[in-house]
Amino acid sequence: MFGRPAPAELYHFSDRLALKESVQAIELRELTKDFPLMERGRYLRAVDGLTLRIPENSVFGLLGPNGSGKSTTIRMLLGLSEPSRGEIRIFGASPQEAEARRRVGYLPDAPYYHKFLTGRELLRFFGKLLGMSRSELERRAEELLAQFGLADAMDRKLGAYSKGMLQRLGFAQALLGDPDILVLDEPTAGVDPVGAAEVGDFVRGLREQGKTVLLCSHLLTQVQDLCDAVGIMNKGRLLASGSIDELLGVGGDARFAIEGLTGSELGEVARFAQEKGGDLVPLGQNLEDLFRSLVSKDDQRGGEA
Amino acid sequence: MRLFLLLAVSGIVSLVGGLYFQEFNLGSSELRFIADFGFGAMTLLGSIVTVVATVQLLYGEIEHRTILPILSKPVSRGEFLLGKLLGAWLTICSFIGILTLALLAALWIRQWQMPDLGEEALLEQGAVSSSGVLLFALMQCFRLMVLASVTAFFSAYASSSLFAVFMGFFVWVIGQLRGSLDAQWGEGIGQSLLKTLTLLIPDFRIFDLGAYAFGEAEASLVSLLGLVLYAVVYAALYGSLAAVVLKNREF
Amino acid sequence: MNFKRRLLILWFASSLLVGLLTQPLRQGAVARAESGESLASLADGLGQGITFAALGGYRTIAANFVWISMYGDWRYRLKGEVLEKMQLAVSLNPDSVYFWVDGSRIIANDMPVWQVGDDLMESLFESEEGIAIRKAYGEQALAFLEQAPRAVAQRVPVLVEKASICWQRLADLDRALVYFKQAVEKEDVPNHICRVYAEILVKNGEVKKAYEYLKSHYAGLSDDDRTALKPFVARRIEELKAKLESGS
Ligand SMILES: Nc1ncnc2c1ncn2[C@@H]1O[C@H](COP(=O)(O)OP(=O)(O)OP(=O)(O)O)[C@@H](O)[C@H]1O
Ligand SMILES: [Mg+2]
Repeated sequence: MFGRPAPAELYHFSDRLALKESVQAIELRELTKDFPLMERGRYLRAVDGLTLRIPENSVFGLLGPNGSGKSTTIRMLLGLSEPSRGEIRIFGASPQEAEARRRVGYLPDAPYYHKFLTGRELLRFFGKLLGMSRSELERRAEELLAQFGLADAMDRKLGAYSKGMLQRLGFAQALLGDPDILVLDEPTAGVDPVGAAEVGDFVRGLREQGKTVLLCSHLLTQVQDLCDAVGIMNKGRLLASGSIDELLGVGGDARFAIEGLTGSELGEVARFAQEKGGDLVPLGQNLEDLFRSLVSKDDQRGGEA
Repeated sequence: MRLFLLLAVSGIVSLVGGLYFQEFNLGSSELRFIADFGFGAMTLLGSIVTVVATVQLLYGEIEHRTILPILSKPVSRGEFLLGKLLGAWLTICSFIGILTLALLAALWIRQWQMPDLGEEALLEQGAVSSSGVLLFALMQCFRLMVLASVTAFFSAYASSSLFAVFMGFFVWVIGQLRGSLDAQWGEGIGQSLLKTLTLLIPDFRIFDLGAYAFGEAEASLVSLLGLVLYAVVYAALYGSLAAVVLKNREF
Repeated sequence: MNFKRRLLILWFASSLLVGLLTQPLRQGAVARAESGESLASLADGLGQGITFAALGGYRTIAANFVWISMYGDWRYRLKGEVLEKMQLAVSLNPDSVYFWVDGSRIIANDMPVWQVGDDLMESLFESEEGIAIRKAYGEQALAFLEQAPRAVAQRVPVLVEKASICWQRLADLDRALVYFKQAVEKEDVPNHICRVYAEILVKNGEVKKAYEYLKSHYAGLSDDDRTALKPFVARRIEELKAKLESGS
């Protein structure tokens, strides 16, 4: 559009980020997932050559439009789905190992819990799966349920929970085993704005505790505030990844927002930039604009090809 | 669970039905009649409980995706399956247990209602031995354990619960018929082909030990252990196959 | 796709292997169950409901229902239907001693009456024609019992039934004694059968044999068995002894 190199090549800063911190909580290498279609021999490539590194004690946002392969990536990360190609490492171990999964807490993209259990019973059940001792389990379950405002509801059946309550129960469940990594698939889905802000605070709290968080979200403003780094996916491919600052070009790459000028004054600025051999790039300073332009450009290129 | 209760009730109702129908039978083999009804209930309703419970326990988790958070915990798929199978078996055993108690109670009540069962009557049908009833019930538990494993195998593979239920009952019926099948069909190639095919399916009829309860056959420990071993081997086979399928399944 | 094929092969191979390995286990159990029941004989007379019940494991129940409905026909004295349903019931559940015994009684006791009519019942024991009818049905009842699987045929009630048919319907004491003898040799034989056996022996003129049999029978009786009627047996032995002495 502006005669610049394709964004995919431009914005990969994650390697630089990785050098700073040595311990990688999550590593994805050339991760690919093909789903067989009904017609024989044809595949849907839900994830395509995804390479990511998420250092310990950071918050990583995985962004992308619907159907871009975020949840699929997360399922592979948890060993729920087998990659067609590529590798996954959780603190260096494969997610097929139960011990690796013990270090990961998972908030699924929808409340897949047994409706006939109560909140407390669900946590008890998951606690048993985690091999927790009874007394510890009881203590921790009550603590978590209280922390997420479910103290009053914990003896009610999940069938009677509201969407937001189920989501909060999901948090409690994910934190039950005190994992080092939290994988949150759309933690703010179905949560009201106040609740969403609480989720943000909560994730910050997790970072302070030294945990690593991988989250998918469509609330880009929140992600921008919250995450240390993000990756933007479309159609299974990673379009860009890196720290927020790097992606938005605060720092080395100078891209400014110009405020307080009139239309004609702006025209002069543009002319000036062109005289100097540059260009005025209308990329926004916020993640949302970046996201939109990256995705639409990618879709266009896909359309041309 | 509601289904479980429903079936338990219908089992008991069928026993009461047995009590009622023996009226037609001129009173001469009441106990035996009642026992037959009880055994029938254990077999037919037991198979329904088994298939439905297993499909619900296993395929239900897949269908409602409740399996996702479970498998994301440090539990292997094999462990998950084993837990589900044990759960199904527990359900089966308690169901059979309820029916057995009801049957023994019905027998006991009838026996008590006709205290001077003349020698003649005793001679005719022989009393129904309660140890025979217990033995029958025990063998049902083992037979249905095999059925549960078979159903688990199909549940792990299925993409609809109807398929799993259907296949469970299909194997059940074939397994029931198996014994009569290879006696049935002609000679030559057809026969040997059929013989091979029948080898593929567990034989469910051999667990029918009704005759022991009526004192018509002697139970030998060796043959009982043989039956148990047979059941365990088949349960393990289909359990392992189910595990293989589950390991390769996407969620 | 690939996985499906691999799974099918795995299933086939492992099932075949296990099927072969467990064959000896199965055969042991089958030997007992194999009692001449065949699907063909079932399929003939079965209605939908009964077939379904039989397949579902309600085989014995199905047999019971057939038996009950047989009694419906029995009330109207429909000989053909009754015989058919009896056959069906015993092929559904050949292990039921009751079906065999009750069925043979219907053939031997009821059917002759149906044929001659209630008013002429006595003719079965009086007129030549009546006796022939009685004996024909007696033989038919015996033939019916002969179909029973071996394990059932060797049970005391069946043996006693055969014996009493020979005795009461055929008036053939020699044949009756053969069956009685088999019966009294069983362990679970009730005491009164043994006493009846002795009486039939006497009736058949074999007093010495009866005396010796009763003596050995008496020796095996326990004191606290109410059905043993020890004093009665002892008295009878004395009577037979007296009879033998007076006779010789
Ligand atoms: N089990 C499956 N079988 C076949 N296709 C699948 C399966 N799971 C996901 N897909 C496909 O993979 C693609 C990516 O799906 P995925 O759920 O990962 O998207 P997402 O990024 O999580 O979207 P959203 O934001 O809506 O949650 C979609 O096109 C979807 O149809
Ligand atoms: Mg998703």
